[in-house]
Amino acid sequence: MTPTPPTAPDALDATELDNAILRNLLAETTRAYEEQIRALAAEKEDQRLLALQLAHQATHDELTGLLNRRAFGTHLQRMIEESRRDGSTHALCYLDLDQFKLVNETCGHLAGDELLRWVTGLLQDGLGEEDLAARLGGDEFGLLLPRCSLAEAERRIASLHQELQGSPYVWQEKSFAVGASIGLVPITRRGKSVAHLLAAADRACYLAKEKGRSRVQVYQEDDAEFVRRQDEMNWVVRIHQTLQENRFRLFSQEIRPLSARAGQGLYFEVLLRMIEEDGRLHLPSDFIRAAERYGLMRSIDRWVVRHCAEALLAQPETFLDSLGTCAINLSAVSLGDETFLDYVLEQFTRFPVPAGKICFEITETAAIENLDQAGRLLESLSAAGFRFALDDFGTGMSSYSYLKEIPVSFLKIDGKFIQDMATDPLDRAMVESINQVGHVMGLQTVGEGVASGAAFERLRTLGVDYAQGNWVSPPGPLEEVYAVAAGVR
Amino acid sequence: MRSRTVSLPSGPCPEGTLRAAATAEGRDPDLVLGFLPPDEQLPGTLRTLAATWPESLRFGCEADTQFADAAVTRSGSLQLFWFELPGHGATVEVVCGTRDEPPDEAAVAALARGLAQAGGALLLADGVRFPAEDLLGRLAPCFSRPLPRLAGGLASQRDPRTSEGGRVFYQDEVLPAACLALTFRGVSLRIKVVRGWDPASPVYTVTRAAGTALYEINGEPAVDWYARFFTVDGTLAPLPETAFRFPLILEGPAAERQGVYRTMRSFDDPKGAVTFWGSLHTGDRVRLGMGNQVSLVRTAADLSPGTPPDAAILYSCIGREAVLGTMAGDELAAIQGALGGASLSGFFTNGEIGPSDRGGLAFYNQTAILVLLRELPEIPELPKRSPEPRL
Repeated sequence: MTPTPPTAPDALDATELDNAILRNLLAETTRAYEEQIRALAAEKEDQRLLALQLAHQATHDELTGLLNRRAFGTHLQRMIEESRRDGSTHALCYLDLDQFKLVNETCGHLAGDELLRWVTGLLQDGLGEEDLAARLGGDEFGLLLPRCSLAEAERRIASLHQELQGSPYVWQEKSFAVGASIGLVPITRRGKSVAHLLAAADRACYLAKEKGRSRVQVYQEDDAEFVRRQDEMNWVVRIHQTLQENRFRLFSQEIRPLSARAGQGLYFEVLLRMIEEDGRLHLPSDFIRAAERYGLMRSIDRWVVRHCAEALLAQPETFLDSLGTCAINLSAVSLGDETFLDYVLEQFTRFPVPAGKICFEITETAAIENLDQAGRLLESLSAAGFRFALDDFGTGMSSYSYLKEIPVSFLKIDGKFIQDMATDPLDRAMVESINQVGHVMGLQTVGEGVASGAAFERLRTLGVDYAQGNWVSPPGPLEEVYAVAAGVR
Repeated sequence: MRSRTVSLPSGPCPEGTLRAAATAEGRDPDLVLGFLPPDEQLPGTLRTLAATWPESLRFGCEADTQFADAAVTRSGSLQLFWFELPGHGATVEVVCGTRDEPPDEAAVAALARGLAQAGGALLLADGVRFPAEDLLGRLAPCFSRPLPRLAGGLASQRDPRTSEGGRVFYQDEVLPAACLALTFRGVSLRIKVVRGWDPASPVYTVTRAAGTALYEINGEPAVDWYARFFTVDGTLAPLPETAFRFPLILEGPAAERQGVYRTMRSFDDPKGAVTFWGSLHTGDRVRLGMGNQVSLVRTAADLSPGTPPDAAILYSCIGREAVLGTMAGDELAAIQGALGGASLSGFFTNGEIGPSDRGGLAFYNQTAILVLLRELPEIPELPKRSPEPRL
């Protein structure tokens, strides 16, 4: 260690001292960079080649040799600036292959990779010298057509698409008709940013898919469909924020016993509400569609499971004693999620509410969509003591056969049959039939959407075991159910 | 929630001043948060608070410099809170321990459960004796993500070279070595981390450190390493004072420590070591940062608090106080200006607690942690809809 120099340069004020120290730091930084440069210069010639290769790799897609997303963004930015400067119009396309997944799954990844290279060749043949193509990820490609009006771009892209559709892709004697969903966006002097234009092209591409795939969709800012999709994107952001800021709130709705078969304990369904920062409250119908479309249901389901378990356990033991069934809704995504079982078991180990008091509600369509995987999950959870209800029964397949394959305890008869029972004999027959079959199979039945005393009485007459709906008990904060349990409401 | 800040006069705390502060609200405050000078007046002040508001929840800490709205003071500040809605309120948990006898596992686990359940808390720790950074390190693994929102600071002293001051108090009692956790019911808590430092050197690796002592950087004795940069015209600049304007920035490799600063506490004392107000680990990647009063005030002025809070609390590092000097009030005024007139209290701390950039829990130096409090509105009646949507 070198000796420490004497302290206190009194002659310098703080600013001069800081500047002198910054000069020292700058000298050190410069020395460090010079050292790096010398080290680079001393390396062999092939190292320089390697550096060139690395630079190429940094801007190009390895599989297709096209530009990568980052480099594409740089070129797009350049075109936005050009438009702003001289008013020129360019075109941006977002292209998503329609058959890629099928080729990948039926013929393997090699065939998929080859398909991407094959499409690359078609694009390069069909594009002009100044046009740019990029692979943006997976089976998504981006195209930039410089100095090209929207009408001209539509014509050229339609022709390119026709070429793609007209040339079947062949892999080991199998032939695939390859199409693409294409979103087209003009780049004008009003173009806001790279992110904005890419998002617009993505939305247009998505709409092309929704309209039946294999088509070109031009983005129009005021189009109702685009507005709807933008609205969904806004919900996605809000859902993320709500999860981060823990602003979801659990509500509950009591389910009341009607028949002698019904259990004695308190039975309620847990519902979810989103609370805005200013206290405004949103029903799931506002945000679930966006959550489903953008893959957020998994997080929402987990949030509900965890917070519900935590909230139940936080109540006095007398509450858990009086609790018969707490119903928690599960989405189709969670039914197909291989890690969901572990998550549930972990939460209920951490917050040990007796599993028999928890009933997961699933819709019949969700169960059927993932019957194998859902069946396995339900069996495992059932083995741990959890119970299940089939929600909205009657609106989907309405088939009783698969009821034997999944271990449900409750059948919840969809509210639309209940509402019109008085006037529609078919609805009444449906309720009667579901109730009877449910009982034969040893299940308990719940009539949903009970909105009047008359409907309530009819359910009782038919022998339905439970009733749920706003007439029976409107939804309220979860805390209200504690009051019900305590008998104070 | 209504809140009001009281700047105390120097000398004994007059009961009349306290009563006058609460008169406009028509009742005693539900919660009294105090940042009081570490001097002989403290026991008397606590007695006066108890006599004036015997039913209020009272807690706080010793602080050499305090904030009362836009004013910087050294004679103490109080922040009074009234909750609007029934059922809303606050609870204080006390955890005791020293560096030699840290809180036991059961106490840490119980605290973690309470914090997780509340979803967040304000922490005030003894700034001299209590092992606050160690506690954070033990709490973090107890939480699942997202972590509860935790923010706070370590009580400060008049003279950091002594072991005097830096204590916390709860109701009438000054605690010998403790950490207080204030959890709320019905109050939203948002946290802003205010920095204001820029990188000023290449990145180096800590090759030997233990606790808060740094011995070697890139294989070079830490004292020599600092001396290389802080020697001007053959003379070593006054340390640690000068280094306040050049804090050490942690760049990794642990993701949870990225963006955390360390303020120098002593140079070559003990011999061969540079000590800091927070820990350094062997293997940490570090660089020197730079800043001055202008960059700190500018960062504070750029603050965007979002929804206006009912009240705010600022925990700002004593290292920032040293850099800000006479502009300490400017930083405070910039922050209060951004809050839309909400009451603001706080103090210059011996270390700050707040969220890390990666959503973890960090022990900061040279940083200001701003806590924004807002009482949540009552949940409105639902419009009746049928059938009930899923979930």
